[in-house]
Amino acid sequence: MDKDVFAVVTMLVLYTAFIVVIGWWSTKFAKKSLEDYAMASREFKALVLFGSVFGANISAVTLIGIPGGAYHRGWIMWPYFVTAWAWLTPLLFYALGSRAWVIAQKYGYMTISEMIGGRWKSKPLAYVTSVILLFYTIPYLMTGLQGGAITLEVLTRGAIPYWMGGLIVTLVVVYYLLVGGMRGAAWVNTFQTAVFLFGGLAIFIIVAYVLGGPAESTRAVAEKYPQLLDRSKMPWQVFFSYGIIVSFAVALFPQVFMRLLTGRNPKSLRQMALIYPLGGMLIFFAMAYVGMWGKPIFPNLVGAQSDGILPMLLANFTSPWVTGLLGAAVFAALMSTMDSQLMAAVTIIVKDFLLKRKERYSEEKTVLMARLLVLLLAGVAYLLALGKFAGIIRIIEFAFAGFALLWVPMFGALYWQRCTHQAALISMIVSQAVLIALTVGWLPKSLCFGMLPGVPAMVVGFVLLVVISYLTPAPAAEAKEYFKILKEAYKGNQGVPAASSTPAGQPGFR
Amino acid sequence: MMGPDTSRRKTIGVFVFIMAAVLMIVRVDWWWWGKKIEPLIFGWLSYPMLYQALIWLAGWGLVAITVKYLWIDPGE
Repeated sequence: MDKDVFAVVTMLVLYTAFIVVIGWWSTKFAKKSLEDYAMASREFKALVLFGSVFGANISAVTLIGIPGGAYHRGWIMWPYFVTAWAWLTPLLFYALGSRAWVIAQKYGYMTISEMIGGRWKSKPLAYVTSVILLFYTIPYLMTGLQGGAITLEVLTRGAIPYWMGGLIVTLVVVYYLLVGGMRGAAWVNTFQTAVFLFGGLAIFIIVAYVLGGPAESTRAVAEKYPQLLDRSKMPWQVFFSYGIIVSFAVALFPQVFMRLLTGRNPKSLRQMALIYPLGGMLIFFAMAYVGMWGKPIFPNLVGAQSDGILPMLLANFTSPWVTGLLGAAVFAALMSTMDSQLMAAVTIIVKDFLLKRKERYSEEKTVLMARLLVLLLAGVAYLLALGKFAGIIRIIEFAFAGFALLWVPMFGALYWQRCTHQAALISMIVSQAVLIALTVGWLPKSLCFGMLPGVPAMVVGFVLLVVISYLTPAPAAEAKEYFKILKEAYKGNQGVPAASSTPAGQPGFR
Repeated sequence: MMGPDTSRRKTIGVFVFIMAAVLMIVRVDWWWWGKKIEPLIFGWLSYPMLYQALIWLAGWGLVAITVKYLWIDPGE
């Protein structure tokens, strides 16, 4: 191993060791229950909640996918996300989070499936929701491993090959999840959020400096690749539709939704929502320009190869020690998402499938099952990542649309008393089917009108939700409990609703 | 979910909803789309870039309004 690679590896090892120590330290505060392992006993305050939610949100997409996308499409990659997601998602946190938090406190819910299924006491609805969530979470999880493996391979100039890099990232995340659960992940994420925010800005400043400054870098792009500045590589219909998709998707990422419920009270959610847009702007703005400015320097990257542009710039233009330090920021971003995705997927399987069975498990056995599932799912994601099926941005454009479509039944569950469970179920299944059919070409692309497939699929879902609700008998009184609970909670004389003694997720599903 | 200042909150809620919809539409600056535009400041940032930054800022303003006037805690 040459001395440059040694320096990079040393910095990454030191960073990783620090992460492991935080995960280990968090175990001193652990209690032996699934509620504590998966939700940290719902006691986070605003700053930890922000670090936790933002860290769960900012992933390989941001520090690897955005520079990679900007390499091909230009600066438009930051408004692609930021001028919709960064502010609309916090508004949707309000629309969803404030209601969901109250319901979750009452029933002990942890997952989106429980929230949707619980509204109509419908097991099929909960199961279908869980399957959809898992279907999209695994490829999204895979992008984190891809990003980590690419970064390690490029930064160490191949000394750590792709397969080994992915394995290292998997083992680190699995370790602190196994020992620390949600509390460990959240503490680590709060630290990692600070690292990737400051690290991302440092990367931007350093890259701009070594390339001769923003003006010089932009001039080089304008001379050779003017299409990256005039946005002709991004049809406006795609830009418009992705704004809707990404904004709606984030609040219903299983890992983000779970964390919305971990706040000590809704006030933590409000404070978190207020600082969220600023964090989003800082990191996406910086990463998009870095990727675009890299085009004239490394002009021949094809397709998903551009995902390596950020580590390539670091490895070629900064000292090995700085490269290692900034590489840690990339790891911070992707590990903070992977851990929460794994935790969310495990919670879905444990709560929505295993605990619904007739046999009862002790809390200790439940936590053990959760830990084994962390290992299993991480292994599956690692094997899938070895395939490198597509670039990160392409994978998430599909997965995000799948999550965004869950707003159809969620809207019915939390906002519309007349909505029936038949309407929620059919609209959810059909809209997902339309998304997949448009994406793989079973339906003609012309039906998208130039937009991403998620938007027409969402329109179909909402139309079906309304039409079928009015064609089916109105829901019984028991399917309107949510609205009674919300009304009482916000009446002004009840205070924060106490968590029910009802076993979590067991409000009598049929 | 209505307190004593229900009608004021409702008005603000409608305003936020409409403005959010408007921002989502006008963030697509189709009048500049695909056109070559010279940088305006620092030899780097152009009109479309600054325009997109303003959309973000306006959106953040909507979040601030929501947090201050609409988002009440249970029991408030």
